[in-house]
Amino acid sequence: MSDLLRSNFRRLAKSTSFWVIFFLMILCTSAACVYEYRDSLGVTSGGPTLDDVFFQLVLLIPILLSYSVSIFTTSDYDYGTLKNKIITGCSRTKIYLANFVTNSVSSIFILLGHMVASLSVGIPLLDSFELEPMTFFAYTLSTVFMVLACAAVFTMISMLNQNRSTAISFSIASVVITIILVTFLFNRLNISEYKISYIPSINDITSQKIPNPEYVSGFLRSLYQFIIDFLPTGQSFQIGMMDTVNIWVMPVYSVIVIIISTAVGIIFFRRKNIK
Amino acid sequence: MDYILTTSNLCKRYGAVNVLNNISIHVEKGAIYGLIGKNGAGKTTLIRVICGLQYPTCGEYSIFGVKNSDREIGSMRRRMGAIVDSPAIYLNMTAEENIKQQYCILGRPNFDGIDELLDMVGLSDVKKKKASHFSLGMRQRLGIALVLCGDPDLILLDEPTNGIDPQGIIQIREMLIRLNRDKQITIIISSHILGELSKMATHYGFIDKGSIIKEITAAEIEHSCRKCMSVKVSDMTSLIKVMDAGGMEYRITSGNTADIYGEHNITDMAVALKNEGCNILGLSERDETLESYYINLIGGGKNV
Repeated sequence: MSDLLRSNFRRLAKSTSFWVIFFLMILCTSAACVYEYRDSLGVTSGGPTLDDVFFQLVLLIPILLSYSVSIFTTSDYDYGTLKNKIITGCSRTKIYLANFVTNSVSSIFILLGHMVASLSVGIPLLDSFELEPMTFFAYTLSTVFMVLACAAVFTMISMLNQNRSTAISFSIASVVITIILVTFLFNRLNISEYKISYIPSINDITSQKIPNPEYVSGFLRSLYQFIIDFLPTGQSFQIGMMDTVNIWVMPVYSVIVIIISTAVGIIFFRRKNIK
Repeated sequence: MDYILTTSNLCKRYGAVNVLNNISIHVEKGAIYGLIGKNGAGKTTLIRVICGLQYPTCGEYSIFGVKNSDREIGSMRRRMGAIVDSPAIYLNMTAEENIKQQYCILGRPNFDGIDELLDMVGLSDVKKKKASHFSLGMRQRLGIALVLCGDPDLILLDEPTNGIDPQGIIQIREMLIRLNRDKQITIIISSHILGELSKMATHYGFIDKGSIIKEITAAEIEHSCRKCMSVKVSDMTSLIKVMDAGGMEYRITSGNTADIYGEHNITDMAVALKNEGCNILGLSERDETLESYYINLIGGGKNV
């Protein structure tokens, strides 16, 4: 597999789309730092912090990865060069895993670009982090595993689709659809348990807290929270909003996503008739 | 007989369609094996299955004596190369970079020999040029260079001269003959261009509707496709007497016509027939070619 990885990394280094995404990430992060700095001018307290910039743009990463991973992986189908690997005896499992490893490395590289940009541009403008070190570590760890989970899912989609356009469309659609789902669930979960009810009387209006019928509770609440925690886009959403409930569980879910998507991908790729 | 590739009752089915029907072929070591068949006969599917791109529905094949179901088949594939459908090259890379990519896949420790490889296929002047700017012939040659990266003992080429100009076809043909002669590389070529194939193939496999109709050597075809002269006379008895006296090989096709094989002096034969009082009513040369052999075999003459 080292031969395949060597070949993949050489190809990645020459990939225009990868470098465009990489520098786009850096540009977005730098712009976000400058924007947050402008927002913080004249604000004495409670303004934006480096933590906000550092984690907010994590929301953008699944969308960028859906494109960069798909483009890189499907180029082997597009050019027909996957045939060269199979014909010369490379096992399909190794081909798949080599692509997954390459996509993981490229995804982490894009994440690192974002992190370095936010540190190098953000620290001079926005001072340092304000999060507790352990919390910061937890968020960062979750981010890294979330990125790897995205790489695994998009690798699976791309390896099982011989058509480049279809693979890219599926990958982007999966991100968009899950973001919409996660946003809906997140909003449902954020509905408060009680609401204020105003009771008018003769001379006065009194208020009291009453249970909110819209409040999601019990099994449904656990289910919604599980979906948000399990989906990589759900994790990116929570990290971006810096509003997580189970921060230490999310990396575990990411590992499960990686294992399942890689296993499914390998099983179906091994059976695939290459056209 | 040392066979480098054999298939045994190989079948491939897509849904309800049998693309390959119990195909059994035998490719001798050092041969240039021409796989001949019309569009949709199953040539490309057969090559795809042998290359491992698709799985057979039933049957098996062996490469260098190793069955496709054996674990060692992967290491045997290292000794082969193929161009299936079209050359698989990265269009956004130069010729040199494409070969480096292939070297990496093959696990070669360094990039030595790239210049010699490009020189062999006639692309040394354009090694820094992006493959997207190559003509079809140049891409085909680069594809062959990629195939040769691993010093293969077996090469499979699926219609390698499709879309190539006449000069390009000659260059590719000469290169393949040279590889076969100098490096003893066994070559399997599927092609529609029977004339080109007849100039280099040593063995033929005729495939139709997913089945091998016949396997035959070039020498046997040569024997079958001899020079032939069709003679129409007024007296068949006299003609037979003259042909027997001249030691000619012949076949009576009707009451007053016969096919005479081989090259013979027509003047002498005419004089001999005149002496017998026999008139020649018609005379035509009808050399059998690979094309006519194929048409007769497949039974396609009625479709012309």
